[in-house]
This record gives sequence, C-alpha cells and structure tokens, in this order.
Amino acid sequence: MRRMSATQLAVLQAVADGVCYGFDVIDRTGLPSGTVYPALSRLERDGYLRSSWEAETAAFAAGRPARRYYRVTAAGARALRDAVSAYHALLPLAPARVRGRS
Amino acid sequence: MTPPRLARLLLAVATRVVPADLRRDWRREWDAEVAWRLGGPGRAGHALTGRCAGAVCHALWLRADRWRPEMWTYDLRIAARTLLRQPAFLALAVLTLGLGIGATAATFGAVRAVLLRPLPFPAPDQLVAVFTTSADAPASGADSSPPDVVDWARDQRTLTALAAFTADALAISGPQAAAEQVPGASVTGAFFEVLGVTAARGRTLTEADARSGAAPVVVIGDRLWQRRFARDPGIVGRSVLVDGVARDVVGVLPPGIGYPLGGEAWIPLAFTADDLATQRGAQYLDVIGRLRPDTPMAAAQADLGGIAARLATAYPRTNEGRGVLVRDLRTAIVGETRPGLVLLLSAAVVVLLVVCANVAGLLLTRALAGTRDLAIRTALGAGRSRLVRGALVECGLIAAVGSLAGLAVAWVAARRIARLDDSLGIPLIDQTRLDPAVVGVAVAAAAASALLFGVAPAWRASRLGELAHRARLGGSTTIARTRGRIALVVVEIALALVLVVGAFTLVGAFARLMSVDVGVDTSARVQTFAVSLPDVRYPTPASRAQFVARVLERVRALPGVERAGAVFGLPLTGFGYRISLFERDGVRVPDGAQDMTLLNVRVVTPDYPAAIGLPVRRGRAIDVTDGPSSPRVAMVNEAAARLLWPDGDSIGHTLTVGTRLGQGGERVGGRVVGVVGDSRERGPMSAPQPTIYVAHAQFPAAFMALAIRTAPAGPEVATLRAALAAVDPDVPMFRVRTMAQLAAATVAQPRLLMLLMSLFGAAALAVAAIGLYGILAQAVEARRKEIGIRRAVGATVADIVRAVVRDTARVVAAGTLLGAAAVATLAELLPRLVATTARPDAAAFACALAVFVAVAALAALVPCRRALAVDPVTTLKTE
Repeated sequence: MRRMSATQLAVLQAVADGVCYGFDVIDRTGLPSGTVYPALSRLERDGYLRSSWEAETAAFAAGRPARRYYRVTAAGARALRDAVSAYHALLPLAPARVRGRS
Repeated sequence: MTPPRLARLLLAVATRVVPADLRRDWRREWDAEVAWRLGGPGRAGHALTGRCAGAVCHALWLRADRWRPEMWTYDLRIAARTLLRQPAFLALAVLTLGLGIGATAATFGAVRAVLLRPLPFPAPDQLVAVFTTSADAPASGADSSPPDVVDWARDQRTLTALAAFTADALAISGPQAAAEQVPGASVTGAFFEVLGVTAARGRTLTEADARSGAAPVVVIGDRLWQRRFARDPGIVGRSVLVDGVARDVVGVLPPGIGYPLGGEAWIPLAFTADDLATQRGAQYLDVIGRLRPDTPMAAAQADLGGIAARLATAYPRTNEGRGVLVRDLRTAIVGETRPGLVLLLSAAVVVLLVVCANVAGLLLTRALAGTRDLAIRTALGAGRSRLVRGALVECGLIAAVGSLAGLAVAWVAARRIARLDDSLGIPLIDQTRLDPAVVGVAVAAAAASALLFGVAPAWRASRLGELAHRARLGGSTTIARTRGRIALVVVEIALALVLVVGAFTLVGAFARLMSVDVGVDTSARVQTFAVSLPDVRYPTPASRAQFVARVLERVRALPGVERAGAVFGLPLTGFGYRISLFERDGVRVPDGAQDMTLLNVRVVTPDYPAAIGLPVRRGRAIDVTDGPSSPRVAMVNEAAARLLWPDGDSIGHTLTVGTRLGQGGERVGGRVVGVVGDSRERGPMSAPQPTIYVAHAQFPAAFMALAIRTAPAGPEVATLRAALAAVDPDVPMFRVRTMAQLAAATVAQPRLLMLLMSLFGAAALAVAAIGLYGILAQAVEARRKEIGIRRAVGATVADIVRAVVRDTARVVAAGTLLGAAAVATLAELLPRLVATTARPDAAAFACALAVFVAVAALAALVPCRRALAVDPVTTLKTE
C-alpha cells in the first residue's frame, strides 16, 4: 500500500463523505487551498480519485461555471479503509490525552 | 492592489506554471471556483485571494510532479536504450569526447603543477631568486660569487633573509647499504629560513652550522629517509657518511620538499676568509631571498642593484658591468618551460573545441533524422519541455560517459606525465595530479560541451517538432540545418589544420635539430657513468689519478669492452666549467682582457677521445707517456685553435687557464700536442665552444665520468659496478647513461613537445575526418533518390564520383582557407605570446595539406562507394 499522509487521508475521507469539489473540501477539512489541491491531484494521479466535469445544464441552472467533481474509486475506497484501520490500530498506542480527544 | 486584481494576477502566474497539457482543465477548475466569484458583486474578500495563493502551490506541485525522479529515470532509461541501439554513434561521441576532455584535463594538470600551483613553501609570493647580470646580457641572470653574496646579505634592507646554495650530487655511504649518489645541495645558514621550511623531525640547518669549525651535519629529505633508512624514528643523531665525511643527521624534512630540483640531502656551505678574499670572480652560487612583508620586488631590485653598483666601483676588475636581477622564484624555476606548456594547453583546448564541434554535428544529424519521430511525439501531445528534457537527458548521458572516459584518459596521462624522466628538466612536473581543480575543469568542459551541443539541437528539435506538427511535414528546415552541420565541419577542419601545421612545424624543427652533428659518438655503444671521489679518502692528486687508472684497467679487462677512458666534464651533461685564459705562449693575458677569452676546461685520460669518438684532427692525443712528471701537455679543439692562433698551426704553442686543479697549486695548461674536433657540449641546440683538454695524470680531478666503448654485446651495468666496487666499495657509481640516452635527454623537451603536438594534431585530424565523413555520408543519403534518377538517365560512374568529390572539395577548401588564415594570424601572434623559435613554414603547410587531402579522400571513399551502389531500378520503383 502506498503511504498516505494525514492530509491525504483527510481529503480522501472528505470526498468519500460526498464532498465533491475543491472549495467544499477546503471548507470541510479546514485545510488551506495550497494543501488541498495538490492532495486532490496526487490522489487522482495515484488512482484513488477520479474527476469529471459537472453537467453544464446543472451548472447553468445554478448560475455558475461547471465544477470539477471528484469521486472515490474502488482503489481509493480500499486505501481509505486500510488507512483508517491502520490509524485505529495505532490509537491504543497513542497517549491517553490524544485518545481522549478522538 | 485590490484583492480581486491580486487574485487574478496569482491565477495568471499560476497558469503559466502548470504543464501545458493540463493547463486547460486546470484553468477551468479554478475558474469554476474563483473567477466567477471575483466577478460577483463585492464578495471577493481576502479569504478568496488567500485561496488563490493556493492555486500557485497547486500549479507548482503539478509542475514538480512532472519532474519527479521516476520520470527522470524513465527518461534516462529511454536515453540509454536509444543510445545503445546506435553503438557506433555512442562510441564515436564518447571516444572523441573522452579524448578531448582527457587531453585538456591532463595538460591542465601539468600546467597547474608547473605554472599555477603555489610553490610548496609558506608565503611563496615573497620568495625571490637573485641573479648576477653582466654588461653584455643585462636581462639574463647568471650565478653569483660568494663575496658578492656575503656583501648583498650584509647590506640589503628589503629582504628578511638571503641565502645561497650550490646544487650538487652527494654520495651517501655507510656500512649497511650500497653507496648511492643523491641530488642535494650545499646551502648557507639562512637557506631554510628563506624557504620557511621547518623539519618534520629534528631541526633544519642554521647559521651556526655554516661557521667554520662547526660539527659536520646533514639534513635529509623524506624520500631518502624512507628509502635508505626505512623511516627509522631514531634517525636524528645518527651518523652517515656524506662524500666520505661522517655527518650527524640533525633533521628530516617533511614530504614534498625537494628544492633545488629533486633534492634529498642538504649540507652546510661555509666560506673561509680566504674564499671571500679571492673568489669574487667565481660565479657558482644560486641565490634566493624572502621579501619583507609588503615589500614589492622592485624595491628589492633597487636595493640590491644599488649594492651591486657600489661593488662594481669597489672591485672594477671583477665586478665592472655586473648588476643584479631579482625575479620571483617560481618564474626563475619554471620560466623556460612556460612557452611549451602554454602551447600544449592551447593545442589541447583546440582539440576539445574540434571534439565539441564534432559531437554537436553528430547530434545535429541525429536530430534531423529524428524529426519525424519528434513530429509524431508532438502530435501525440508531448510538450516542448518534455522533448527538450528527453534530448537533454540524452546529451547529459553522453557527456557524463564522455567525462568518465575523459577522466580515465586524463588519469592515465597524468600518471604518465608525473613519471616523466627527471632528465627532461621540467621542474615540478612530478607534481602533476588529477586534483579536484583539474577534475573540475574536465567536468566543466563536459558540461559546457553538453550545453553547447545538447541544448541547442534539443531546443531546435523541439521547435522543429512543433513546426512539423503544425505543417504536417518534416523536411522544410532540412537545408538550413545541413548548412549548420557543414559550417561545423568547416570549423573543425580549420582548427585541425592549425594543429597539424603546428605539429609539422615542430617536426621540421626537431628533424633539423637531430641532423646536427654533436661531434662525439652518440650511440648506445658508449656507456658512461660518473664517480665522485671524497676528499677525505683521496686527498692527494696522485691518489685520485691512481684510483681512476685502476678502475679503467679493470673495466678494460672486461669482455666486450673496446676502449675505456675518463673525463672531467662529460659532453651532453650540462657541464660548465668555463675558465678564462691566463697565459698564451708565455705571455700573460692583461687583466682587463682576461674575462673575454673563456675556455671549457676538460681533464681526460689517454683513451678518452677514442672511447667517446672525438676525432683527433692534427697532432696526437694525450697518451700514457704524459705522466705526472712529464712536461704538461694539452689538446685544444678547432674552435679554440681558431680563437687563440688564428694565423697558423696551434701545435707547439702553450697556454694556461686561470684555475688550479688539484692541490699542487699549478695552473692548468701545457704545450698543445693535438687538435681535436669541435663538439656541442650541451646538445644540438648549443654552439661548439673553445675547449682545452689536459691530462688526468697531470691534473687529477676528483669528479670524473667514465666513457666505455663496448662491443654490441657489452658488459652489463652490474658488471661495471662490480669492477668499481672492487677498487673501492664506498665510491658510488651514478648517472649511469649511454651516450644515446644523454643525447636524447638534451632534446627531450623539444621531442616531447613535438610528440604531444603531433598527437593532438592527429587527434584533431581524425575527429575532423569523422565529421567530414559524416556530412558526406549524409549528403549521399539525402540525395540517394537524385543519384538513382541520374544513374537511370545515364550518368556515368565518373559523374557520380565527381559529385561526391565536389562536395568534399568544397568543404575541405573552405576549412583549409579558414585554417590558413588562422595559421597566418597565429604565425604573427604566437612569437609574441610564447617565445618560440619554430615558425610555421611553407614546407610544414604543404605537408599538412597533403595529409588533409589524403584524409579527405579516405573520408569520401565510403560515401562514394555507397553512392555508386545506389540501384537506379530500386529508386525508380519506390518513386
């Protein structure tokens, strides 16, 4: 499995939760745009995300240009599950105050 | 700047950074998020601008992702595979590059060792050499006399110290190892203070050691310590025999200190009051000094010059017209070798240029051949940067492998140079190394080459790719690029011609040098070696004469020895000993005129002229009847006979010179019994000098060289050494050389210069020939169709050959004309840059041209055959 950083995990998780375009991911994760966009590009390059353009009609109806929507691929879902379980496995090893926060 | 404008600017900048193939989608994505909001009614705040800064990060990430290492290794793999598929091209490029880089790096290594690297002493800029000049040669320095040196040292105000020395061979002997002769020097007390050298063990010599009555001591060098004493830590305080005198070793110098040239042992040089009173005319000392801090050399020159002027007034008989010349020590040491080295370095750089031009040409041809490939790649969406990078990686790979090959060549060459014989007399050449600076130059040369021949074709190729893509054809710029290639070859030919003419000029000069008759037998059949008799063991003239006679007797008895003689002052060894005439036919030469007539003084045994091949022109040679109690006899050479008795036969006249050899106090000279031929004592470049030969039995010298004429299968050196040891095991045999070796050594520098220049010339010629071949082959290939059609409509073989020859002739003529212009310019410039006596002449130029025509014909041969092999039927069918 490819090593995944916390940032990528957060972004991947956000997309998996149904957040599907850049600015939305920024708002959801609270990460800066200079972090989120490269993470999106990287996840797409690695095959965990796939992007497509929003239907023009829908965009037109909303009165704005078509957005680039990201979707999690099967590989992405698998990677997300592995990463999350890895983090869970790590959790008992973490100090109590970190555990308490989660 | 308002937030919206800043945001737009950031987006615009970022767009330029994004790789071209991603740009459209990237812009669309960001526009969808940002741009429409910016245009909205006042909702663009600082937050939005902040997010736009993220766009720049995104763009940079995308760009960096393109350059990630995997891509590089991918490119590298592709490049390696492509190159390996064209082994001939790869080998050609790597070999020529290796040659050019190697030659440049090795030559630069030598230049750096000899001319650039500071002398291995502290504050080497302060070191100066001081010479005595004479009225007739005020610009060239000669050695100095002890009283002058003592006066300079006492009165000068600009140097922290002044020291004198005389380089000498010292015999080191002792009970545990065979006696050996090592290069060394007798030095005055301040010698090591001037150089700033401190001992690695013990101490160096001081003024106290140079006082008369001081205990005899010696300082040895690191190499001698290692070789003879196996790095014995208790060496300091041990006693060794130096020239038969037991001396205590007081110190060992650190490694790398060998001044004068190759020195390994140093003993104190002391002057007695008697020396100082009588030796103002005896110029045999080398003088060095160290400038006071912040004192310019001109001040020292003025200071010492003033003292010399006072001495000239005080001692007009010896010092009239004498001046002082102060030069920096490095120039004094290496001055003579500079022009040759500079010439070689220039030649090496020219070779590198030819090589670069050639590789550029090769790559250009490849780029041309690859136009279609590039067009396809462009059509498939490869961006310009992608194509340029591919080409760059390929060129970088060639340059890297070429550099490696070059370093290998340079490493081998540098080792070879460092081990050149000492007899070459190039000081410091043994310090030649592939040091970081040299490696840096090599790599810089490679990088420059890669840039020169890599970036330009790659850049053009990529543009061409785009052009071809747009125009959907690949051939529109072919002609322009072929012209570039031809121009490169023309330049190559011109540069190579310059080198080849230079090489032929030096070959011609060397051939003239070799045809000069030296006047003695310079064949390998004459074996020589030197012996130096320590004063303590052979104090009387009779004991020295007896020693030499006994050695010669033993040598003559050896099988294979035809004649054996001995001489004080063997030719071709750089021996000096010129003494002024004292008396001619009983008439004392007046004081003022004395220095005008200088004669080489040589002391010989009876068999010497026959052994060395010195012809007796008139009268007889000195023979065995000229013993110690017989009347003194002398031989003169023809130059001396002409000089001293221009009007008639010199036989029967008498002469003496102003030196007393031996301890009898008798002036050297006698009645002339024979006239011998002239000899060029310092090799073919020197002129014969008037010389007087006297009998060793009558004037025994302590330093003699044996000359032994042998049958083709003469005795081994070991046999000769045994014969010498049988007479006295403590007298070492040294400078063992045949006359052929001695003769070769006198012309070793011009020979080396000629050989290297020829090598560089040949290399440049070969590379230029490859370039010529390349364009001819390419021209034939490009015109294959045309040739086929012409053959079909009746062109003869001669027509086709003529076409190829015309192509060849055009390029060669252009290159030759350019080269001739360069040679003409250089012929004017060169003598001003490097003081060379050899100048390009018509003969050298004609030879170079002949070689060029031959090589051009060779280069045209294969393309010509290929053109003839074009089958008209096949051509017409493919049309």
